[in-house]
Amino acid sequence: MKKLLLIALALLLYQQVPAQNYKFQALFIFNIAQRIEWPSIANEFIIGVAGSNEIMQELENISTKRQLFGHKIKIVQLSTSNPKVDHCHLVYLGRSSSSKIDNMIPVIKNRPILLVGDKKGLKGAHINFLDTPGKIEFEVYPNSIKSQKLKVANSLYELGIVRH
Amino acid sequence: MKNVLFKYMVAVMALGIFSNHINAQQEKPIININELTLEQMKNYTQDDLLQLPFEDLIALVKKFKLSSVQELYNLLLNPTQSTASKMEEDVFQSPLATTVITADELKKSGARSIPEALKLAPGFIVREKTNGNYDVHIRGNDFIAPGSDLSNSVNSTTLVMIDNRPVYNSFLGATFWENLPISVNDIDKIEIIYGPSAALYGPNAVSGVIHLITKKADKDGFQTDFDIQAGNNNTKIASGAFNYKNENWAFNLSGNYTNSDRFQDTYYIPQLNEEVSGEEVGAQNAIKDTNYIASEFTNDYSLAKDQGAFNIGISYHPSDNIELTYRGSYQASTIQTAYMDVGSVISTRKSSSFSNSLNLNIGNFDGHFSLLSGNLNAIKGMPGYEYDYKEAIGKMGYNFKYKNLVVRPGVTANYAYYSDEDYVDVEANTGLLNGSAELGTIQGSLRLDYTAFERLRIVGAWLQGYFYKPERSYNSYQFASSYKASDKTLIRMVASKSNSSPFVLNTYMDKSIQMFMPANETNEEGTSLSLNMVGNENLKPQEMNMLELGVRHNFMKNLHADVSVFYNKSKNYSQLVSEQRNPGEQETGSAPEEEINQEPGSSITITESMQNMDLKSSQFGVTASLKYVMSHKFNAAIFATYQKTDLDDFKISDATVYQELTGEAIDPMTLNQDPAYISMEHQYTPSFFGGASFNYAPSKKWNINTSVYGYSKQKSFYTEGRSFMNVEIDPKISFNLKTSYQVNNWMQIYVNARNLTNNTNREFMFTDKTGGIYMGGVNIKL
Repeated sequence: MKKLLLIALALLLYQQVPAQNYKFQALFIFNIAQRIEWPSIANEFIIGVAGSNEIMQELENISTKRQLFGHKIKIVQLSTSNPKVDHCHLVYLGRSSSSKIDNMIPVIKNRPILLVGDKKGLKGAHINFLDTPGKIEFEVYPNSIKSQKLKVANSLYELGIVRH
Repeated sequence: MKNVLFKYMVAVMALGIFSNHINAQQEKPIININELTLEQMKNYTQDDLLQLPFEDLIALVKKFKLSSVQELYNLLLNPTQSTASKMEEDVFQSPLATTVITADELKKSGARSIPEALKLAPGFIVREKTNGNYDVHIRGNDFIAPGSDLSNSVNSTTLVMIDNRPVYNSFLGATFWENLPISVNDIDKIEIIYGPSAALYGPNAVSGVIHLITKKADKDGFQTDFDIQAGNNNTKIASGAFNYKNENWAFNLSGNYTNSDRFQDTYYIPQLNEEVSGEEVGAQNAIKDTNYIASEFTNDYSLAKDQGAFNIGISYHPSDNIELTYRGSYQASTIQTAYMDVGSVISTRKSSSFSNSLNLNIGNFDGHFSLLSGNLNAIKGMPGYEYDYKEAIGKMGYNFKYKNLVVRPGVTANYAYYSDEDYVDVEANTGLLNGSAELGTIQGSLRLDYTAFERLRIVGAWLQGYFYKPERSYNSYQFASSYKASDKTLIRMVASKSNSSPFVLNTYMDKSIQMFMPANETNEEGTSLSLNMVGNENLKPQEMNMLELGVRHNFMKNLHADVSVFYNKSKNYSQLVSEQRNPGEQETGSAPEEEINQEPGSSITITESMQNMDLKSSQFGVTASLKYVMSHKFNAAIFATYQKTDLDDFKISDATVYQELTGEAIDPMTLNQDPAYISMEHQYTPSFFGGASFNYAPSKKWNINTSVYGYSKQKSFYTEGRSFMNVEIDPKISFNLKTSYQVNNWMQIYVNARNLTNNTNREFMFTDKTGGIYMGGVNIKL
């Protein structure tokens, strides 16, 4: 019994899971959005969030204080199984919902929507956060972004890690 | 480069000029990433960070290695606190022994009340007297002198504050936890300082300071937070808060209610050495003290706690440099707990109070002003223990900062008014005060804090105080030094002295008990006995001197160890001393009020007055704690204290007590004429006490928190007349478990078990055998 408990404890201790950094990720998202040329913004700049209440709260905080391109920022919660991204400009997919990206890809295809993921190398996302101890970095996929008919400022490529 | 430097200097000057301006918040912060320190960065709000160019934001993240894992390490291993130095700093940097319990830890732990939550901190002895009512001591030195009245077991040497407002009761110096108007859900963090700290906080910070800092609305707009849980023993605990915040203003309305039953409805009577039913207790108490009104003994024998409170908070924050916070609170409570040996030991304490406090921060200036008024009946049924009181406190300080030196002058004044005249027969002296009594202090302090070579820190603080009611001056000091041997290791040392303040009861007590001693079986021609108990305005307050050495070491970035070795000496304990004991005999230095004549039909007057004892205590101890954070999923803390307390010059004049304590027989008459002074180990403070907590979040929705707390055996004794009774408290370990499930964005449900294994060992002398409480609850945040 003692051995079992020790094994269980050892397994628990080695079950390392990278953590999220909501506060700075939200600030990064706000800054990334500023460095992208969006073809059309009607009344509001809409950010859809799926699978992360924490980032949603941080973004909502920002939305009460800042605008993007002279427009109010609106944060909407998206379902991961049936995301309704109709009016969204940017969609954030939380790390724990990364496996649901297959539900996202068809609905944003050929639409000027930027998909931001939170898992290294997440296929289908246009930008991915990498949260390792001591730093927050992000991957940028220029080809995927171009296919969404979005224009990215060169400075964003310099600040992120470009993947082809 | 010159241009950049010039711009930077202009920016700094501009910032300096505008920082004192009330509209400073309109100015954009000018942030030079290269010059920025971590402390400065921590002060930046989301607003400030939003103004940074993306390039600077990324540079900032890289410079300070900011990531969520790092933030988590800081939050759990090295939270900030401002109690130790009156400046915000990391726990790791504090030159004093310091612990912080955060709101997140409180919520996950499932602690029902503030004293119960203190089981999560190292160095605390927490004993449950009745269900949910606790005795709390920091490190020990409790129930000295052993064998004295049970009221000496209350903690009158720890300063407890809510947002800078001291909350101890000046009547006896104790903190009655049920009188606090806030619940655990109102608390943002509990900051704890161990050891004498009167030089910063004034008298009563003798064994330490417990600073309860309440939550502030951190988001714009409306927020609500409700928590309701219920379980066995009719336990019902509810709390709720509404918050509203906009750019400059924040409003908060909160309330809490707790109701629970005891684990038994019988009462232990030490004199009888048996449990009796509630119906018998009133009469038993009246036998022990003829003043006791038997009919006033509670008829709700099962009640443990019935308390509720409301708070209103208004905060005005016009700029980063200015904050003004008002808090008004009303509380009412009725509990059954052990306070004094009135026969049953457990009695009913009832209170209501209204408090107003104002905290003001303008730049480096901070001020606090509070008014408190209330009514407390410490022992229902015992005349004299009900009183009205008013207290006023004002304190101010300013942190002058020049390079690596911080100089903080401070001034504090307080006034307390207690009156029992509405509840007693003043003429017959049936009360404790039989009128009103006042206490007042004014004190000035100076603290110097210097850091040399970014590694060596030297702190010196001196307080000069003057009690104007009763008149007396006193001083207190604190010298501390820390040396940062590396980024991972900090070595620290503290030498400090503090004293308690005079309290109303031991200064102004004026009580008479009339007794009739029958001379024969027919009760004819007995002797009437008049016992007068009086306070002493010249009593020296209890004083502690402490030396402490400590080491903090981060073995890994996520494994933090903290060890403190402490040695303290305390003196000026006090007790009622008979000024006249036998016919023709008198104590040195006191005159008999009247010759005792034991002839039938005569009367005897005995006067007892509060006197300082020769008794001294010395304590050596070690507290060690280890904190480990694996990830957001798992973290753990383990802590333990070993201590040994010795008593010297303990005056014994009773032969039975002498024989029981020393094992040697002695002639009673000889001892009566020439009392013995003995040395002995004080075993009422347990040699070992400590605990551990583990938090595991297997997924975003589930959280499992378990904690354990325990102590070793405790021993003391009880005397009533010439009878002697050894009192032993067996070792006890209790486990707690709270498992919660986040149903959706706004609702969490949970099960919460306190004392999971239902260990019913008695924790406090003569009180209830408390067991397990199992609750289910829901938390709603909108």
